Amino acid sequence: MASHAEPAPIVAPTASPPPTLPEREALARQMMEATGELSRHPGDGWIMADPAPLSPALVRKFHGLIRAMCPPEPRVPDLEARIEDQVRRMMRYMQPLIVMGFKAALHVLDLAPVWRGKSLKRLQDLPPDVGARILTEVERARLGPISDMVSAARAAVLAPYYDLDEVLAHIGYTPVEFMRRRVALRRRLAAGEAALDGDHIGPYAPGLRADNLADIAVAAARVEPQAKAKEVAP
Amino acid sequence: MTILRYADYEPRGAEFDADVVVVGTGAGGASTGAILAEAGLDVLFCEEGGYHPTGSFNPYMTESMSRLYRDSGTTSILGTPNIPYVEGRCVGGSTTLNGGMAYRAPDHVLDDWAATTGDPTLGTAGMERHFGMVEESIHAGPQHATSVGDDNRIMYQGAQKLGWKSAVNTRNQSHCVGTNNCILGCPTGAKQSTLVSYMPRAIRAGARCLTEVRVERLLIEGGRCVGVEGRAVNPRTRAYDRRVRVRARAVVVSAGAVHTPYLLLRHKLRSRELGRNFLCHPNAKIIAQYPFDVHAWQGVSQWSQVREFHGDGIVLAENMVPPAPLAATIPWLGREHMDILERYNQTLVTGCLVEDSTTGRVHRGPLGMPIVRYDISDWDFQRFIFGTERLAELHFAMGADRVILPYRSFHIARSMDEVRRVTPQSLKKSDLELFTVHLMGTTRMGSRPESSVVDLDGQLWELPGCYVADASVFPTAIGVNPQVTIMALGTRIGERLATRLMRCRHAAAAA
Ligand SMILES: Cc1cc2nc3c(=O)[nH]c(=O)nc-3n(C[C@H](O)[C@H](O)[C@H](O)COP(=O)(O)OP(=O)(O)OC[C@H]3O[C@@H](n4cnc5c(N)ncnc54)[C@H](O)[C@@H]3O)c2cc1C
Ligand code: SF4
Repeated sequence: MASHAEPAPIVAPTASPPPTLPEREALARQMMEATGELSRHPGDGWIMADPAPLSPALVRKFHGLIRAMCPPEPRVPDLEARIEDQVRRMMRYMQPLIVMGFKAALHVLDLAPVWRGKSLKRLQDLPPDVGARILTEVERARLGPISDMVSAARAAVLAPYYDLDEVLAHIGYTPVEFMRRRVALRRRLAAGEAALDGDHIGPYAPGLRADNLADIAVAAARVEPQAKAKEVAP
Repeated sequence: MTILRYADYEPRGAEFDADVVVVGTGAGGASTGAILAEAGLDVLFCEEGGYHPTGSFNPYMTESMSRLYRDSGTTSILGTPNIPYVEGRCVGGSTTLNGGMAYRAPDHVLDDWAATTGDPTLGTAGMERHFGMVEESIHAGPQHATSVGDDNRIMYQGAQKLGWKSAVNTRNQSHCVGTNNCILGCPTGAKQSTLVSYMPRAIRAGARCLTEVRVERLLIEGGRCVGVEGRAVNPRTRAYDRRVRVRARAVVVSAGAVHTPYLLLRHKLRSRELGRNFLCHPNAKIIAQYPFDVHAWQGVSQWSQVREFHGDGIVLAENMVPPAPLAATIPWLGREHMDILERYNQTLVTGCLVEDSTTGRVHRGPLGMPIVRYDISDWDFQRFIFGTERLAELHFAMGADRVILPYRSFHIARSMDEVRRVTPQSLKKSDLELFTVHLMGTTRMGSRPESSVVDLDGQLWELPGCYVADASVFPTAIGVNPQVTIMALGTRIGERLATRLMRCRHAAAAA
């Protein structure tokens, strides 16, 4: 059988010299090191793609879609331009067929008020709340791929919207401070310090306090021995 | 240099040489590569994604999606229903952004593999040593109490209240402190993805890593695989415009269960099993909202799983995610959408995972795009409706005031009576909203070339010198989170290949 054939013997050492030990050690440490920076645009040497090309006509259609899909509150400065920039960058990473589908969706949905018989105006020219109503109706009408276009466009528009600082603050999601405290906590635990009462998360919800920690201890003790590995400091 | 990027490759083409080239640095590639490097072989990884160290991880989704996920997360399986999926494209592969659940394949699955292949070393006892090695490398163990949040308490205590069995998860973590940022990269270094476990081991042992290079074909000479060729991607334009070629004595393909068959299918191999047997362990999301704050984004995801219905292949678990990915999946627009997200701090995202009862297939599509086909079975459909109902029951028992169901035609339920209105008769399969992250089984391992793609060493039956070590070699579905089993098989394949190559090296030296 072919797979039992032996690989060709190695007759010469490999061409490129291996990196030095200090270089390798430094890299291994960098891979694992928590800096607590939590930056939106991390400076790790990776380059984000330029925005993908989009004609001015398509940009207008896209802005109309953004206005129809995004909530009216909180008001966010430069909303359309900021979401457009993010999505155009993301488009560079997508499969060409998906990008074509997205552009087709911009055309089709811009004309949705017309082909749904709701208005003679395009989506980009309608007030956002009217546009939102028409798009919701298109999605619920189960029009196969056309309804799917609304779901896909929602993901493309609302995911970046709910990643804007103003919107995150509005809904009370404030992860950075929390995460910085947790990075510090992990350093303490890894250094062998015991956890303090204040290091526990919550409980916030009523009725969850009573048996919480006792349960956790009991349940952890029931974990099968094979799955238990020793805790090793990083 | 140890890790290379686009700017490091000659515009006119770059050539490298190694004992073994490993395509991909995820669960399979990194574990296999580390074993080979530590055995003294010169290992070169070829990774399509970029290198992002722990210090670069952050809670912001939009840019992280492009940095870490394939195609910015816009990948989907076609079928009834279509199932969106995501996978990693970065050093560490999907392990960099996975949830960290660390389970072995169940004994009955392993014993079935041993029986069907006739190889006892694939059974429970035979795989014991490899699982042990993996669990030690990735620190698989239970969570520390400080990482547990209200999301976990609700799930665990809800199951207790209803008299259901739960299992406390083992996770690959060292001092996890519950930041719940696993899907955007662990910013504390606690999660032992291959980025912080196997890759540093391989690097210390002398391995090198080419990043931002997509491998597009195998080099085949005299019927033997002798290397790979691909192109590096220009970071600004995303044009694949610099040719990279690696010659090696063995090639290990670890590009994951979609891209491994995609690459191999290019070579018109005769195996009729290649690309078939695709498994994806689909998942339905049930979102609950409580009339009080639960701050579910604080605390590790899935401290425990509800295992009461595991006999039917159903696992219920909590899967809290940041607002942006949640917003992408919630129905409604504008003001109505904000009405849901304004209650983010009262929201708990949970999922019902159903073990595959059917298989799909990966094809090569146009413009460099794999096409994945998979249709759920009638039984899966019934199990999703059953599992969704059970999760809703748990949430209402714990005081939720509404749940958002994964049905296109019926989203909000405020009571169990409303949930029970949904039956397999009242719904179509295409109404289900599913999602998946566990892709497996498209170049299955076996003892006969007619029914498998790779042999028991992971080598392609049809192409000596070419090995596969990733989720695609699973002979059958495993019904639990797969990374530990992938790493265990990667360890086994790496050890066997290292023995073979070192024997050749010694023979050559003696000659
Ligand atoms: C969000 C998420 C959560 C998950 N949660 C869990 C969990 O909790 N527990 C668990 O056990 N599993 C989980 N999984 C699944 C688990 O991470 C994967 O099953 C596992 O990582 C797959 O390993 P792999 O080696 O097959 O592929 P991957 O880990 O995906 O690695 C494949 C690598 O190959 C690279 N590649 C692909 N094609 C090419 C090419 N042509 N050239 C060069 N490089 C290429 C990719 O960029 C990638 O880095 C999760 C996955 C995701 C996405
Ligand atoms: S919960 Fe946070 S600290 Fe724990 S593994 Fe996930 S990202 Fe890391």
